[in-house]
Amino acid sequence: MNTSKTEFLSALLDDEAGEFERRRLLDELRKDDELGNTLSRYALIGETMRAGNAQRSSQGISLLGRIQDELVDEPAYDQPAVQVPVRKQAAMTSSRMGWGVAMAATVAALAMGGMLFMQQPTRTAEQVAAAPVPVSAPQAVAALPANGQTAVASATNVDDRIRQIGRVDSQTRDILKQYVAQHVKYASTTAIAPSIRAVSYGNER
Amino acid sequence: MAMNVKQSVSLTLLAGMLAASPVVLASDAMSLLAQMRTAVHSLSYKGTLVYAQGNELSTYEISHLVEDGTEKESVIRLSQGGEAAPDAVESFSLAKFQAVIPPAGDAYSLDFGGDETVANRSCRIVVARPRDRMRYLQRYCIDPASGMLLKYSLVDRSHQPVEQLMFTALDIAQPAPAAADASAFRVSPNVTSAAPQAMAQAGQAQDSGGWLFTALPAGFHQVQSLMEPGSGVRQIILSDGMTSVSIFIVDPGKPGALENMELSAGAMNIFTAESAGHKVVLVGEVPVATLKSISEGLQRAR
Repeated sequence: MNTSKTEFLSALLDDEAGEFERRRLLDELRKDDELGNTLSRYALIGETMRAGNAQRSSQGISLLGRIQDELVDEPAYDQPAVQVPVRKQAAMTSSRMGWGVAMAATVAALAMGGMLFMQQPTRTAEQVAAAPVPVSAPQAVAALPANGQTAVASATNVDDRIRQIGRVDSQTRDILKQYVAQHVKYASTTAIAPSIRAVSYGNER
Repeated sequence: MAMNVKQSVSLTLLAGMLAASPVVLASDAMSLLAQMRTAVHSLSYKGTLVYAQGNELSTYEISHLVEDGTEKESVIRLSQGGEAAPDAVESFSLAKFQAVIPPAGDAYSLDFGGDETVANRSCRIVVARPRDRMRYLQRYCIDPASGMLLKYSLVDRSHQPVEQLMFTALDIAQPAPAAADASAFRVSPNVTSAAPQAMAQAGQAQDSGGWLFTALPAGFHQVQSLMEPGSGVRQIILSDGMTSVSIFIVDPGKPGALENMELSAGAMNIFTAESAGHKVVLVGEVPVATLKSISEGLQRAR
């Protein structure tokens, strides 16, 4: 990767990229996985460096949202217009170009995550777990209905095989959530991550 | 002559030190991981955490309180923009049963990375690099002073992070002398009474209900077998020391059976199969190919 792309990456993460550079770089990100990996590394480095000096972001402004808005409004530039995948389902079914754009936006948002979410819990919060935590019995999977609609996986196409849990029918999804909850609850070997996974998977998508 | 002997001895000593250093580093890395596993359960802490799974980014407030050796944890998802907090509050708790974790040396090589600053704290990177394609690379950033995990990422073979979490703010309470002793932990009585039957530590005889594995990916061992009475679903848990897989075996005619499918959600993969007339659902933070391999080794004992 040449120097100019590196410089553009740094400028993008520092929010100093001009309109032309931003469009050109996003175009490159759609095509170049290595560039995306480099962006990811820069983003994490930048985040850790800024972690100690995290500042409140402008209230109500999401960097991810701004980037997505810019991409949606971006005029055609020698390429068909790319619909920014806002929801994860859309991202997973988009073309490789959409993957690159979504990845770039998400990585940039992760880099700014400390600035975006420094607010204390006075912000509106969706409480999904409470302390003290009452002990619950293991989820009784026997209570679930037996017949879920089939989500048959294609054996040949990798993209077809990998599907969102949210894309299967609700009955099957509920069964799967039960199993995932059991797994997270009783098979935890990694610290902290299981708690977050349990809450994350427990939310409707 | 004496100089040649001296040089030979020096070279031998140097070679020995260089050969031993990876072993020493791995041992130190494992110690830091062990310190982390204790710290996340023994410390009282509260912080804000960013979680990235695939393309999704979310933020949580997590608090962990230790009182009289009992853990209390809460995880609150922080949402942007005026969504009203729901009236109903879900609660959950991690299982408090501390399964014995088999050593991870066969499946991973442990290395130290550099030092980083996360949530205004310095941390040391520990990388658990898989020795095969059957699991993901795990990267921890651990505060050496407290043992607290500050950042964690799971990376697939194409070097793409499938899951990341990182504290952006963290307060750790000074541990009381009694609470700092991890061996003083006790399971809440309510947890014990609500637990599934047949909880067992690794190394002891495992009642797997007549199921066995003829072959497993390197490093994986069975650590637990759980059965909710009357449910018709047995959960067998495998672990390689760093990650785990649950195998849910559904008795014929019982609810909870699923048709064949493969699903992926960030780090979590799901694969379903059939064995000896039983529907099998495998769940774990490993590649789908690993789940498939495990399912192929599952057999009903005669």
